[in-house]
Amino acid sequence: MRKKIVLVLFLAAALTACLTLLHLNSRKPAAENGITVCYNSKESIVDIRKLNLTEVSGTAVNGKGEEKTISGKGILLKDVLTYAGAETYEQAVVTADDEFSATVTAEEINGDTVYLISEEEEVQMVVFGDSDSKRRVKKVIRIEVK
Amino acid sequence: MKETYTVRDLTCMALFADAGLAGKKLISPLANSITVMMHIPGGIGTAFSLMFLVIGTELLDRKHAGALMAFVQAVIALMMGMTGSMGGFIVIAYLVPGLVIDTVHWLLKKQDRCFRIMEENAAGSLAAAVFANAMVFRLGGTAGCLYFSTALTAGLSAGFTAYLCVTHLKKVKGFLCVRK
Repeated sequence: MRKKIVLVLFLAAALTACLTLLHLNSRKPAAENGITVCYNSKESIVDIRKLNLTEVSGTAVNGKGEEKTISGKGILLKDVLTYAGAETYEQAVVTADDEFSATVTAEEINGDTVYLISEEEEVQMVVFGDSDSKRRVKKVIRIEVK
Repeated sequence: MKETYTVRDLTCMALFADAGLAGKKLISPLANSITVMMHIPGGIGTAFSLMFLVIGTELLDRKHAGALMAFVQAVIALMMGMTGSMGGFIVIAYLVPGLVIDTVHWLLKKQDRCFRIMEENAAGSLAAAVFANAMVFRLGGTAGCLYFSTALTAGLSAGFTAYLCVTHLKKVKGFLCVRK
Protein backbone atom coordinates (compact mmCIF):
# COMPACT_ATOMS: atom_id res chain seq x y z
CA MET A 1 0.00 0.00 0.00
CA ARG A 2 2.73 2.46 1.04
CA LYS A 3 4.64 1.65 -2.14
CA LYS A 4 1.56 2.35 -4.25
CA ILE A 5 1.00 5.72 -2.58
CA VAL A 6 4.65 6.72 -3.02
CA LEU A 7 4.49 5.61 -6.66
CA VAL A 8 1.34 7.65 -7.37
CA LEU A 9 2.79 10.75 -5.71
CA PHE A 10 6.13 10.26 -7.47
CA LEU A 11 4.46 9.87 -10.89
CA ALA A 12 2.35 13.00 -10.37
CA ALA A 13 5.39 14.98 -9.21
CA ALA A 14 7.46 13.66 -12.15
CA LEU A 15 4.73 14.67 -14.62
CA THR A 16 4.62 18.16 -13.11
CA ALA A 17 8.42 18.42 -13.17
CA CYS A 18 8.54 17.38 -16.85
CA LEU A 19 5.80 19.85 -17.77
CA THR A 20 7.58 22.59 -15.79
CA LEU A 21 10.79 22.01 -17.75
CA LEU A 22 8.86 21.93 -21.01
CA HIS A 23 6.96 25.09 -20.13
CA LEU A 24 10.04 27.01 -18.98
CA ASN A 25 11.96 26.04 -22.11
CA SER A 26 9.12 26.73 -24.54
CA ARG A 27 7.83 30.03 -23.14
CA LYS A 28 9.13 33.27 -24.53
CA PRO A 29 11.26 34.79 -21.75
CA ALA A 30 10.48 38.26 -20.52
CA ALA A 31 12.75 40.94 -21.89
CA GLU A 32 14.97 42.30 -19.14
CA ASN A 33 14.55 45.93 -20.05
CA GLY A 34 11.01 46.24 -21.27
CA ILE A 35 7.89 44.75 -22.82
CA THR A 36 8.06 42.62 -25.96
CA VAL A 37 5.66 43.87 -28.62
CA CYS A 38 4.90 41.37 -31.40
CA TYR A 39 3.50 42.86 -34.58
CA ASN A 40 3.51 41.34 -38.09
CA SER A 41 5.73 38.49 -36.80
CA LYS A 42 8.37 41.03 -35.74
CA GLU A 43 9.33 41.56 -32.14
CA SER A 44 10.46 44.81 -30.62
CA ILE A 45 11.25 45.67 -27.03
CA VAL A 46 9.72 48.79 -25.56
CA ASP A 47 10.88 50.17 -22.23
CA ILE A 48 7.91 52.32 -21.26
CA ARG A 49 9.93 54.03 -18.52
CA LYS A 50 11.94 55.71 -21.25
CA LEU A 51 8.80 57.00 -22.97
CA ASN A 52 6.91 60.12 -22.04
CA LEU A 53 5.03 58.95 -18.94
CA THR A 54 2.35 61.20 -17.53
CA GLU A 55 0.40 61.16 -14.30
CA VAL A 56 -2.79 59.17 -15.02
CA SER A 57 -5.78 58.47 -12.80
CA GLY A 58 -9.09 56.71 -13.28
CA THR A 59 -11.44 54.10 -11.88
CA ALA A 60 -11.66 50.38 -12.55
CA VAL A 61 -13.71 47.64 -10.94
CA ASN A 62 -11.77 45.24 -8.74
CA GLY A 63 -12.52 41.55 -8.06
CA LYS A 64 -14.93 42.47 -5.27
CA GLY A 65 -17.02 44.49 -7.72
CA GLU A 66 -15.99 47.75 -6.06
CA GLU A 67 -14.85 50.77 -8.02
CA LYS A 68 -11.25 51.54 -7.23
CA THR A 69 -9.26 54.60 -8.14
CA ILE A 70 -5.96 53.76 -9.80
CA SER A 71 -3.32 56.36 -10.32
CA GLY A 72 0.33 56.41 -11.25
CA LYS A 73 2.75 57.24 -14.00
CA GLY A 74 1.58 55.70 -17.23
CA ILE A 75 1.12 55.89 -20.94
CA LEU A 76 -1.68 55.05 -23.36
CA LEU A 77 -1.35 51.56 -24.85
CA LYS A 78 -2.08 53.22 -28.22
CA ASP A 79 1.10 55.31 -27.89
CA VAL A 80 3.19 52.25 -26.99
CA LEU A 81 1.89 50.38 -30.03
CA THR A 82 2.58 53.37 -32.26
CA TYR A 83 6.12 53.58 -30.83
CA ALA A 84 6.58 49.87 -31.62
CA GLY A 85 5.47 50.48 -35.20
CA ALA A 86 2.03 48.90 -34.99
CA GLU A 87 -0.32 50.99 -37.07
CA THR A 88 -3.32 48.92 -38.05
CA TYR A 89 -4.70 46.23 -35.78
CA GLU A 90 -7.93 44.71 -34.59
CA GLN A 91 -6.91 43.68 -31.09
CA ALA A 92 -3.99 43.31 -28.72
CA VAL A 93 -3.39 40.40 -26.35
CA VAL A 94 -1.58 41.57 -23.23
CA THR A 95 0.19 38.76 -21.36
CA ALA A 96 1.58 38.71 -17.83
CA ASP A 97 4.62 36.89 -16.47
CA ASP A 98 2.40 34.03 -15.20
CA GLU A 99 0.81 33.62 -18.67
CA PHE A 100 -2.43 35.30 -17.59
CA SER A 101 -3.65 37.34 -20.56
CA ALA A 102 -6.38 39.79 -21.52
CA THR A 103 -7.56 41.02 -24.89
CA VAL A 104 -8.35 44.64 -25.70
CA THR A 105 -9.94 45.65 -28.97
CA ALA A 106 -8.72 48.39 -31.31
CA GLU A 107 -11.86 50.37 -30.45
CA GLU A 108 -10.97 50.28 -26.76
CA ILE A 109 -7.31 51.07 -27.44
CA ASN A 110 -8.23 54.06 -29.58
CA GLY A 111 -10.86 55.11 -27.03
CA ASP A 112 -8.00 56.30 -24.79
CA THR A 113 -9.00 54.18 -21.81
CA VAL A 114 -6.30 51.50 -21.97
CA TYR A 115 -3.15 52.46 -20.09
CA LEU A 116 0.13 50.84 -19.18
CA ILE A 117 1.11 52.02 -15.71
CA SER A 118 4.67 51.71 -14.46
CA GLU A 119 4.98 50.58 -10.85
CA GLU A 120 8.49 50.16 -9.45
CA GLU A 121 9.91 47.20 -11.42
CA GLU A 122 6.69 46.10 -13.12
CA VAL A 123 4.12 47.33 -15.58
CA GLN A 124 0.38 46.77 -15.35
CA MET A 125 -2.36 47.27 -17.90
CA VAL A 126 -5.53 48.99 -16.75
CA VAL A 127 -8.71 49.60 -18.72
CA PHE A 128 -10.27 52.61 -17.05
CA GLY A 129 -14.05 52.43 -16.67
CA ASP A 130 -14.02 48.69 -17.45
CA SER A 131 -16.45 46.53 -15.50
CA ASP A 132 -14.39 43.39 -16.16
CA SER A 133 -11.80 43.10 -13.38
CA LYS A 134 -10.14 40.23 -15.22
CA ARG A 135 -8.66 42.64 -17.74
CA ARG A 136 -6.32 44.24 -15.24
CA VAL A 137 -3.02 42.56 -16.06
CA LYS A 138 -0.12 42.89 -13.65
CA LYS A 139 3.54 42.23 -14.54
CA VAL A 140 2.98 42.70 -18.29
CA ILE A 141 5.78 41.10 -20.31
CA ARG A 142 4.34 40.73 -23.81
CA ILE A 143 1.84 42.39 -26.13
CA GLU A 144 0.74 40.56 -29.26
CA VAL A 145 -0.83 42.88 -31.79
CA LYS A 146 -3.22 41.20 -34.20
CA MET B 1 -23.92 7.54 4.51
CA LYS B 2 -26.63 9.32 6.49
CA GLU B 3 -28.81 12.10 5.20
CA THR B 4 -29.68 13.90 8.42
CA TYR B 5 -27.44 16.39 10.18
CA THR B 6 -27.17 16.96 13.90
CA VAL B 7 -26.19 20.31 15.38
CA ARG B 8 -22.76 18.81 16.14
CA ASP B 9 -22.38 17.80 12.50
CA LEU B 10 -23.23 21.30 11.31
CA THR B 11 -20.85 22.84 13.85
CA CYS B 12 -18.04 20.56 12.68
CA MET B 13 -18.78 21.39 9.06
CA ALA B 14 -18.67 25.12 9.80
CA LEU B 15 -15.30 24.63 11.53
CA PHE B 16 -13.86 22.66 8.62
CA ALA B 17 -15.13 25.25 6.14
CA ASP B 18 -13.49 28.05 8.17
CA ALA B 19 -10.28 26.04 8.54
CA GLY B 20 -10.18 25.59 4.75
CA LEU B 21 -10.44 29.33 4.12
CA ALA B 22 -7.91 30.16 6.83
CA GLY B 23 -5.57 27.43 5.57
CA LYS B 24 -5.71 28.86 2.07
CA LYS B 25 -4.74 32.30 3.35
CA LEU B 26 -1.89 30.80 5.38
CA ILE B 27 -0.42 28.72 2.58
CA SER B 28 -0.92 31.36 -0.14
CA PRO B 29 2.49 33.09 0.24
CA LEU B 30 4.38 29.78 -0.01
CA ALA B 31 2.13 28.46 -2.80
CA ASN B 32 2.48 31.71 -4.76
CA SER B 33 6.27 31.68 -4.45
CA ILE B 34 6.30 28.22 -6.04
CA THR B 35 3.86 29.04 -8.84
CA VAL B 36 5.68 32.31 -9.62
CA MET B 37 8.84 30.25 -10.25
CA MET B 38 6.81 27.95 -12.52
CA HIS B 39 5.25 30.96 -14.30
CA ILE B 40 1.68 29.77 -13.79
CA PRO B 41 -1.10 31.65 -12.00
CA GLY B 42 -1.81 29.19 -9.16
CA GLY B 43 -3.09 25.69 -8.45
CA ILE B 44 -1.53 24.80 -5.10
CA GLY B 45 -3.36 26.85 -2.45
CA THR B 46 -6.81 25.56 -3.43
CA ALA B 47 -5.69 21.93 -3.10
CA PHE B 48 -4.69 22.52 0.52
CA SER B 49 -7.86 24.48 1.20
CA LEU B 50 -9.91 21.54 -0.10
CA MET B 51 -8.04 19.21 2.24
CA PHE B 52 -10.22 20.40 5.13
CA LEU B 53 -13.39 19.73 3.13
CA VAL B 54 -12.15 16.23 2.38
CA ILE B 55 -11.34 15.61 6.07
CA GLY B 56 -14.81 16.85 6.99
CA THR B 57 -16.52 14.71 4.35
CA GLU B 58 -14.62 11.60 5.47
CA LEU B 59 -15.13 12.11 9.19
CA LEU B 60 -18.80 13.05 9.02
CA ASP B 61 -19.77 10.69 6.18
CA ARG B 62 -22.92 12.69 5.48
CA LYS B 63 -24.66 13.11 2.17
CA HIS B 64 -23.77 16.42 0.45
CA ALA B 65 -21.41 17.37 3.32
CA GLY B 66 -18.68 18.52 0.90
CA ALA B 67 -21.06 20.68 -1.12
CA LEU B 68 -22.55 22.21 2.02
CA MET B 69 -19.12 23.09 3.44
CA ALA B 70 -18.08 24.48 0.05
CA PHE B 71 -21.22 26.61 -0.03
CA VAL B 72 -20.45 27.96 3.45
CA GLN B 73 -16.93 28.79 2.25
CA ALA B 74 -18.35 30.55 -0.81
CA VAL B 75 -20.72 32.67 1.29
CA ILE B 76 -17.92 33.62 3.71
CA ALA B 77 -15.57 34.42 0.80
CA LEU B 78 -18.26 36.55 -0.82
CA MET B 79 -19.03 38.39 2.41
CA MET B 80 -15.36 39.05 3.17
CA GLY B 81 -14.57 40.16 -0.36
CA MET B 82 -12.20 37.26 -1.02
CA THR B 83 -13.43 36.91 -4.57
CA GLY B 84 -10.20 37.39 -6.54
CA SER B 85 -10.90 37.92 -10.22
CA MET B 86 -14.06 35.82 -10.23
CA GLY B 87 -16.56 38.23 -8.72
CA GLY B 88 -19.97 36.61 -8.20
CA PHE B 89 -18.82 33.40 -9.88
CA ILE B 90 -16.85 32.65 -6.74
CA VAL B 91 -19.95 30.83 -5.41
CA ILE B 92 -19.79 28.34 -8.29
CA ALA B 93 -15.99 28.22 -8.07
CA TYR B 94 -16.25 27.01 -4.46
CA LEU B 95 -19.30 24.83 -5.01
CA VAL B 96 -17.91 22.81 -7.94
CA PRO B 97 -15.03 21.17 -5.98
CA GLY B 98 -17.40 20.47 -3.09
CA LEU B 99 -19.81 18.64 -5.40
CA VAL B 100 -16.90 16.74 -6.99
CA ILE B 101 -15.62 15.66 -3.55
CA ASP B 102 -19.10 14.40 -2.65
CA THR B 103 -19.43 12.54 -5.95
CA VAL B 104 -16.02 10.85 -5.67
CA HIS B 105 -16.72 10.00 -2.01
CA TRP B 106 -19.99 8.36 -3.03
CA LEU B 107 -18.61 6.61 -6.12
CA LEU B 108 -15.50 5.18 -4.42
CA LYS B 109 -17.18 4.26 -1.17
CA LYS B 110 -15.87 0.72 -1.31
CA GLN B 111 -12.32 1.61 -2.32
CA ASP B 112 -9.37 1.72 0.06
CA ARG B 113 -9.72 4.79 2.27
CA CYS B 114 -6.29 6.25 1.53
CA PHE B 115 -6.73 6.22 -2.24
CA ARG B 116 -10.31 7.42 -1.96
CA ILE B 117 -9.26 10.45 0.09
CA MET B 118 -6.38 11.21 -2.26
CA GLU B 119 -8.69 10.91 -5.27
CA GLU B 120 -11.34 13.11 -3.62
CA ASN B 121 -8.79 15.84 -2.99
CA ALA B 122 -7.17 15.51 -6.41
CA ALA B 123 -10.51 15.52 -8.25
CA GLY B 124 -11.73 18.53 -6.27
CA SER B 125 -8.49 20.39 -6.91
CA LEU B 126 -8.58 19.56 -10.62
CA ALA B 127 -12.22 20.64 -10.90
CA ALA B 128 -11.38 23.97 -9.24
CA ALA B 129 -8.45 24.44 -11.63
CA VAL B 130 -10.56 23.63 -14.70
CA PHE B 131 -13.26 26.08 -13.60
CA ALA B 132 -10.74 28.85 -12.82
CA ASN B 133 -9.04 28.30 -16.16
CA ALA B 134 -12.33 28.43 -18.05
CA MET B 135 -13.48 31.54 -16.22
CA VAL B 136 -10.34 33.57 -15.71
CA PHE B 137 -6.94 32.35 -16.85
CA ARG B 138 -7.77 30.76 -20.23
CA LEU B 139 -4.37 29.05 -20.34
CA GLY B 140 -3.72 26.73 -23.22
CA GLY B 141 -0.92 24.46 -24.41
CA THR B 142 1.91 23.62 -22.05
CA ALA B 143 0.99 26.34 -19.55
CA GLY B 144 -2.54 24.91 -19.25
CA CYS B 145 -1.28 21.33 -18.90
CA LEU B 146 1.23 22.42 -16.26
CA TYR B 147 -1.46 24.32 -14.35
CA PHE B 148 -3.70 21.22 -14.27
CA SER B 149 -0.81 18.92 -13.45
CA THR B 150 0.24 21.16 -10.55
CA ALA B 151 -3.33 21.16 -9.24
CA LEU B 152 -3.44 17.37 -9.53
CA THR B 153 -0.12 16.83 -7.75
CA ALA B 154 -0.99 19.32 -5.00
CA GLY B 155 -4.39 17.64 -4.68
CA LEU B 156 -2.84 14.18 -4.30
CA SER B 157 -0.30 15.46 -1.75
CA ALA B 158 -2.96 17.31 0.22
CA GLY B 159 -5.14 14.21 -0.04
CA PHE B 160 -2.43 12.07 1.54
CA THR B 161 -2.09 14.65 4.33
CA ALA B 162 -5.87 14.53 4.73
CA TYR B 163 -5.69 10.73 5.01
CA LEU B 164 -3.08 10.99 7.80
CA CYS B 165 -5.28 13.56 9.60
CA VAL B 166 -8.41 11.41 9.22
CA THR B 167 -6.56 8.30 10.49
CA HIS B 168 -5.28 10.12 13.55
CA LEU B 169 -8.55 11.91 14.27
CA LYS B 170 -10.50 8.65 14.10
CA LYS B 171 -8.27 7.27 16.84
CA VAL B 172 -9.19 10.13 19.14
CA LYS B 173 -11.92 8.81 21.37
CA GLY B 174 -15.05 10.91 21.20
CA PHE B 175 -13.58 13.34 18.69
CA LEU B 176 -16.39 15.57 17.52
CA CYS B 177 -18.94 13.41 15.71
CA VAL B 178 -16.65 10.82 14.15
CA ARG B 179 -18.27 7.61 12.98
CA LYS B 180 -16.00 4.59 12.75
